Amino acid sequence: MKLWIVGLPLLVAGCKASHVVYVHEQTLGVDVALTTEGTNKLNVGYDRESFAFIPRFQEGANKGKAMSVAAVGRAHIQGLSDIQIEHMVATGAPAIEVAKGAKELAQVAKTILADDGGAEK
Amino acid sequence: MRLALLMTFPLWGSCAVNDRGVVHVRHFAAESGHVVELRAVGAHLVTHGADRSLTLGSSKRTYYFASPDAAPFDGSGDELLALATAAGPAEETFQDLPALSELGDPIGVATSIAGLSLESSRRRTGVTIGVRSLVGLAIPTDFDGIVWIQHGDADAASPIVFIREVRQ
Repeated sequence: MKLWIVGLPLLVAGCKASHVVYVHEQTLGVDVALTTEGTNKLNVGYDRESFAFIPRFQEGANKGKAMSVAAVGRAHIQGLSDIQIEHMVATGAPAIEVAKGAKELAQVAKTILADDGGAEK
Repeated sequence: MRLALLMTFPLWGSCAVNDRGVVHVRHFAAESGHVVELRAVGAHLVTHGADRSLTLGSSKRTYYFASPDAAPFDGSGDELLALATAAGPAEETFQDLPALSELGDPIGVATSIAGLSLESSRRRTGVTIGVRSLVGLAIPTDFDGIVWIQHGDADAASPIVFIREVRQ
């Protein structure tokens, strides 16, 4: 019951997302957490999660629509603490323009993914 | 509880709060953003809302901030993307750094911790015992622009950080 009372304000806060979010995290051990994005967890052992969260506009002409986002990302993971990432994230008007320019976006993907060295994508 | 206190007692010898105390601080600056890296062994308290936590053990934290001096870009998204693609690594700087709490919200956070960590950030409230690593981006919904971040654990590598908006 206490857990629920603590968790409720966090869940409510999570409904008013004000950020585009990308998270990659991994844990070995004991992890107990309540989050405003992602999944609440009680984990013993190894756990890994990656997710992105694209919020909807809360007001204005675009109310209810999801934000415009164009992104290319790479995560290279070796072991528990060696994480190398490279991310390009375009938001708003630039995201629409970037998404229309397929060649440019493909070139970005080529640049980011070129040096993956067996990376996990 | 006693055992935990006894086990962590040696760590209390070195304490750090944010970027002050027994903590190794590196600062990298680029044209449109900058990176702050904190490495600590012992007790490390971070009061910044984006990563509010207390860690007993070893930790490495990297924060990616937009530069307050970067003017909005006058041009199209494609042109801005070309600029981002050409962005080189940030250079390490040894200028005095404002207190972490004065730097605003980071666009990106990367943390690696080993030990006991109590966290109460905006995104997460919890406790971890063991090893945990996290890479996160949080871009405000009113940001119209491009973020390009490259992060690595290799000590020698300088990060790439490009965070720029277009003029509305």
